Amino acid sequence: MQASITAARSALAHAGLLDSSVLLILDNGASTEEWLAADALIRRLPPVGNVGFGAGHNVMMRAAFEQDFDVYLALNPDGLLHPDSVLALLQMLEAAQGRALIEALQFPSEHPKPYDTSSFDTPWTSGACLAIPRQAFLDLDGFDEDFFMYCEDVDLSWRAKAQGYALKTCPRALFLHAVTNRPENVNTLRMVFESGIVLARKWAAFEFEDWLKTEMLARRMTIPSRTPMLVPDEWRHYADFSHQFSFAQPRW
Amino acid sequence: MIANQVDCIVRFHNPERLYELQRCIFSLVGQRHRPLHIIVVAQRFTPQALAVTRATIERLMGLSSGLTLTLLNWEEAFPIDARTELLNFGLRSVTGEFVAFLDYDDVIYPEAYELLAKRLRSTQSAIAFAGVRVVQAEVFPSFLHLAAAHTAPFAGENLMDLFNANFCPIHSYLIDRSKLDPDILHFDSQMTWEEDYDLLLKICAAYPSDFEAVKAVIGDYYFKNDGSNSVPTDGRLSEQRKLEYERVQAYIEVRRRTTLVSPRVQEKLGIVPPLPTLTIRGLLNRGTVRTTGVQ
Repeated sequence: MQASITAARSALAHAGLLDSSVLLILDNGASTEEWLAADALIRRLPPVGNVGFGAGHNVMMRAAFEQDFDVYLALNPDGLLHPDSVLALLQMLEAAQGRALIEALQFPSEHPKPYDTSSFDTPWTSGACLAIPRQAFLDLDGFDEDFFMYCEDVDLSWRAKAQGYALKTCPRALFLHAVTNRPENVNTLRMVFESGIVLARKWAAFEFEDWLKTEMLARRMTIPSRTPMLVPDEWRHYADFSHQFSFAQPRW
Repeated sequence: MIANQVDCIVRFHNPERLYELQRCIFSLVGQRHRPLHIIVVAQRFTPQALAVTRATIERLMGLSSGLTLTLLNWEEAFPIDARTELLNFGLRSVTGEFVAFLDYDDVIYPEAYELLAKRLRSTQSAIAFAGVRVVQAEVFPSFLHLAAAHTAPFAGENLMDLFNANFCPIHSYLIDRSKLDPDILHFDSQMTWEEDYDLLLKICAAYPSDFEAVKAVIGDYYFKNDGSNSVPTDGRLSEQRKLEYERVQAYIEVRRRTTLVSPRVQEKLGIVPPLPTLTIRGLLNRGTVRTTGVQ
């Protein structure tokens, strides 16, 4: 995490935004205050417990936008921003006139979901490193807190698209994130499946829900009972459940 | 020799390809293994090009701790194509226990050296192999777009397969210098193609090798659409390249026919008692031998 903060600082400095930015930290477990080096850039929010990925970011987004910041960059603490990333993301957001969610490019092992090399449009944007403008937060009410972890970024993306926001990948903004050769973790898999079921129910993807239930039962996992509110019918065509958890036709 | 340090040699011959070098170095900065010594070897760069290269690398080095950089500039007039010389030049600056190679236009995943070092520490092997994916990259002025990716693109999974044909790109392995004679760590300057395979034949014939992690993908090998790869990536060879390819293959075959397989390696392959004059070619001609992941 120290490296992540150092990298964020470097990227903000390169963008000329060091004096006008703040790095928000919300501990969801043990406090990081004792072992993280003191840094004037950091502002710690009072902990609210382990409320989940989306809920945690919502706390930080509310704090950021109440202070009139224009853009919130959601950042996984286990990744590293390339020094050019923040500037590249903001440039792309400006080109989209602020009406977009812009993700950095996962590096070195990219997510296989596609993006257009002219428009940079992509079917959904990952929350691991994602630029969210203030108006988008207000229009979308942030992440749906029915998701504890996983799939909340897919949901946010489809809702954003339904409300006229573009979804873009910024290939000049590299975000180094270790996603390969990870040992299988049953708890992680369970969270992925649970969130997948919530997503399926919300977007009326009954076949996808049935498939997930089969997978969960085969692993003796408990099917979640949460029944989120359905999205409007006219939004459903923004969703793609035909490629399992890629949620888009993958490049490989 | 600095214990536990990985030295990675990156050869870089074209200062106009800084963007790709950045990606390569960024992937090294992201390595979990520390300490890591990055040795970048440039080819006849001007002082200005060298300064720009250094600045580009150093802004990435500052992102993390436990990293050191050595930037070298090979200044000899010949050979014109000095890609092999760059590797040897880089080897002269190696100080760590482990050595790896990474071309400027390729990347490795954050867990790569951690995974390979673990294999080397837990076995008698002097070299450990993992897998590399081939990605087809479209080159744009300010970014690379990956159009496709192929896992396990090269047929092979063990030592006998490697003796038969090279399926291990230069960034798919880590060498333990503490386990081998330093004189063996030298690329044949007469080769500008398959020079790495020639080295692998020498090392793997003399010392035990580990292929246990060969199915784990630890990096990407970029096949670019702008023709800038040093080896043909579209399956087509010009007449001149065909001649060169045949020359190289003949040279490699000479290596197979003249390199003895050590008793240790033979025993790992199940040849007991070992045969004193068994060459790599002789071993291949024997047919099926035991081919477990650890050789």
